[in-house]
Amino acid sequence: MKRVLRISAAAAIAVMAVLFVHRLWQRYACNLEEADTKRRVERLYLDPESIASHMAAHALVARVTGCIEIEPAGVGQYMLRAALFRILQRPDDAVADYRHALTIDRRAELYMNIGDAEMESGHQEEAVDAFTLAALTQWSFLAEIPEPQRDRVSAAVTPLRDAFFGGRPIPGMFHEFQERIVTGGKGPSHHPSGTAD
Amino acid sequence: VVWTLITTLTSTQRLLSAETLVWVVCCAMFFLSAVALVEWRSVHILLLPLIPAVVNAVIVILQRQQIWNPFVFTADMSLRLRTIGLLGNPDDVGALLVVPVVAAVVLMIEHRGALRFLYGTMFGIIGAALLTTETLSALVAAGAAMLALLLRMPRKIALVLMLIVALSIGAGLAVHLPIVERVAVVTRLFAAGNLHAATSARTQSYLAAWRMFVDHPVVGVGPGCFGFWYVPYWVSLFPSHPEFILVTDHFAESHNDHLQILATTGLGGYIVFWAALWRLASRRRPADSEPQARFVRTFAVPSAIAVGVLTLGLFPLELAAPTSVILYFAGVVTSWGGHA
Repeated sequence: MKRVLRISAAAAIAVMAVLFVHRLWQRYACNLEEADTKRRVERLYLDPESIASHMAAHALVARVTGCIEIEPAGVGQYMLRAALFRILQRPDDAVADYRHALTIDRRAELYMNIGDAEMESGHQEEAVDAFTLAALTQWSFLAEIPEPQRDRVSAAVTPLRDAFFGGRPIPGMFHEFQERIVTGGKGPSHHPSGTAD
Repeated sequence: VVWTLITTLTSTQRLLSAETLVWVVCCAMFFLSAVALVEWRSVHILLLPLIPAVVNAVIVILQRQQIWNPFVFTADMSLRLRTIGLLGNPDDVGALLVVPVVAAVVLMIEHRGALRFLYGTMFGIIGAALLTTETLSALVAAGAAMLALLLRMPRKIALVLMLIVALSIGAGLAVHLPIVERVAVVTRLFAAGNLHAATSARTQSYLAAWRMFVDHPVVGVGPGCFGFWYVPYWVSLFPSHPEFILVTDHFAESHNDHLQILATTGLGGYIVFWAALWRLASRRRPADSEPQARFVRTFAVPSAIAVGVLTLGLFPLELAAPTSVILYFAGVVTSWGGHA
């Protein structure tokens, strides 16, 4: 009986180890595919409106979706699929992927991407909102925001910068932005308590 | 592993914490494998991590001297950032080399004849590469370990080692090594009170990590969640540090594993971290004269100090290469050290 138990335990461990290694191998393969897909997407963006680009983007969406299932916390994969959706003129799907990526990693460039995709969807207010967060989290992005949105974003964020650099902080001025960063712009949630404003 | 599991359950972003849990389990398995691998083997099994360290060190030196580089870089990238060994960053390769340089010097001390020459050569190559990376945190960690080693050595050996170090420093000053200029610049910045520049803009990540810990003191924000929470906490620093507004560097890691452990796993995780360091330092059999026991007796305390100091300025525990080297040597100390 003891021997049977030992063999069973060993077999179970072996099966688990094989499954684990297989999973890790899949992740490794997806990591390589991500780099390859990124290069392909960059090429597709040279001529995004051609039929060939659309067909290639369609095929790549399936490939990236497979990797997202294997690596659900892979922000790069969501960003790639969103970029492909934009080639396929599905900006709403792109926004959804970018926003999902924000629940994993709050990268400043994601706000820029959301702004661009929202503009493509015709959602101007949402675009300005995303661009504002992009500029706030990375000041250099302000120069990359297209007009006329840039003027509105600049009007929103420049006073914050000037107030602080001029030593005139406005009480609570960053609370709203923090809240929007934490919630991805979707209403109240927990936010850092250490807000000394 | 148990604490990571608990903090994963209480995490603010369980998906990310689950990924880190897998990493921690893998680390535990690697550590146990190292313990089993070295258990009945000779002290030369230490060549297993030392050879890759030497390979990286040689490549670092070749890269810095612009003799050969296996990677292609954009033209605007500085020479220091091209000095990466087979890793991705000079700081990463610096972190990788710290524990091997301590092991090499201990092996040099513990052997005689040709083996002393072999390990001495390894120590020289790894040490030179460490200086070449200009990674100050790694150099300070190695320096602290060497100091601990000197204090534990017989006076004659300590004097010889001090002479070697003094001559090396003198030679570095004489030939104007880039590290000398870097140390001078950082020292001037510290003296002027410009911590932000002196720490390569890392004060914002330190402060953000500290605020995360203050908000979540017991279990932290969750393993692997520092980068996820960085931006909102960074924004929360603007009122007291308006200079951060224009900073373009965002931190996925805090560049201080002490603070990052506090931020992500709370006080509980930090206690586990210190317990591991303490255990590493205290595992040595006092009277045993076998080479393995002698190695551990000399190596345990300096290596624990090296890891403790290294994690103050870098994040080696978040990187595969330095972590695996640290775990391997921890396995060696555990296996050969027995009970203190």
